[in-house]
Amino acid sequence: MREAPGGVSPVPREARPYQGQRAGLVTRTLAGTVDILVVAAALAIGYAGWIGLRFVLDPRGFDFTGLRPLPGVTWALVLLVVYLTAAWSVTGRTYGGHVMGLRLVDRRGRHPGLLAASARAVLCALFPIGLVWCVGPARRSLQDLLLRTVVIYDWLPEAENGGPPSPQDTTGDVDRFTPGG
Amino acid sequence: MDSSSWLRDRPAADRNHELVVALDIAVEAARTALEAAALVARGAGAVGRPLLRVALRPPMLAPPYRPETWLRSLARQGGRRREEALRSLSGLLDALVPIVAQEVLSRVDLTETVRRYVDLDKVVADVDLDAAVARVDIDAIARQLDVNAVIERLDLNRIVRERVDLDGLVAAVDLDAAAARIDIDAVLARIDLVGIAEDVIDQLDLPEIIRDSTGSMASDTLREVRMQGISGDEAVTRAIDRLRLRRSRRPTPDAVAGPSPDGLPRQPDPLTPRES
Repeated sequence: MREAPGGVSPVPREARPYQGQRAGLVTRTLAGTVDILVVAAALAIGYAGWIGLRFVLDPRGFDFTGLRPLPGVTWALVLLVVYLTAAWSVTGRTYGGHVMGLRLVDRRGRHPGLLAASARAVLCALFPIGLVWCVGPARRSLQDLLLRTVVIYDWLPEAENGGPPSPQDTTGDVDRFTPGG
Repeated sequence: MDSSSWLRDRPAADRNHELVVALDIAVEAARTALEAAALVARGAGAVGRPLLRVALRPPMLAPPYRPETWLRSLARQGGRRREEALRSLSGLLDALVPIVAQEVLSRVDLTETVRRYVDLDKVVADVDLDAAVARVDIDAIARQLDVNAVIERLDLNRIVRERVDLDGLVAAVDLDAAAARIDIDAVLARIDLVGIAEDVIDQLDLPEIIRDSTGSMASDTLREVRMQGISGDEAVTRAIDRLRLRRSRRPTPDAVAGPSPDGLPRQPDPLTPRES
């Protein structure tokens, strides 16, 4: 388990046994739900802003007929991919991951690179049901199996981590899993 | 009644007084007789000395035949007898005095006698104690002294408390100089500071204080949501494990074909990794 400088861990005592262990289906589903809500909210705000801009520019010709389902879903997927890619490649965690105390790391225990993050974001956006694979003993989704990533419990914020988690913090090799953790 | 019975019946004090009076009379009579004899002798000497000289040294006799020579020879023989008698008496006294002294001293309380008749203060005042002490080997005496036994009998705490000015002593001590000579690094090296700090932190639950003071970590609600999520993950994992275990216990074609050679149902190999 990682500790803050000075040997003191700010992680609550009851959560310390799980710190650095692989996350399961429930936590990751909740985190994904939060991320979808974030993207939906951002999409709604963006759409409202676009509608408002159109109304200001052309009040007489304004109508809601511009909202069509296919472009809306496309924009939502694009926004979701951009959001997930940016979050995972920069901090290793999305807002949902932050809320649920999760972090995405690669097989070396570091933040995934931009390429791996974008690939995982596309896979998650197009095939979200792959998350169900993490009910297995290895707790790895289909995206994790393809890209050799893993999602761990990490209650330490980035500022207190002093950097990305080390491989030892994530039970060493990401191909191994400690049962019960 | 005869005289002895009369004397025996008289009180002891009257008898002593009469004896003292008789003794005084005898002493005075003897002194008078001696003075008379001396007076007569001085008169007779003055008259008879020339006659005695002629009688002892007659002119017509040779010196070997003079009475003086005969008397001198007699005196020498008498002197030898006297010396022999003194030697005999000395030997007799050597034998008798210890016996007599022992008998006498055994009948006398010397301590009481000395205490009554001897002025010990005056005697001690005349003694040169400094010279006597200078001849004493105090080091040898001190070596034989059991100092530990003496110290054990002393109440040193009480003595120090009552007779030592501890405040004055402490005030005179330069504590700053003493502290400057202390090797604090060596002292700290013997202390498990890390262990003490960990114990204190463990008792204080410092992480909880940090979280409360900085607010950098999740709030109580968020922590509760996270722990609920972890509990959900564990529950799902246990349910999946039970499902896999139940599935692994279903009869296999081998089991359907027949029991194992030992008659027990066939079990999966525990060394075979579970499929993910």
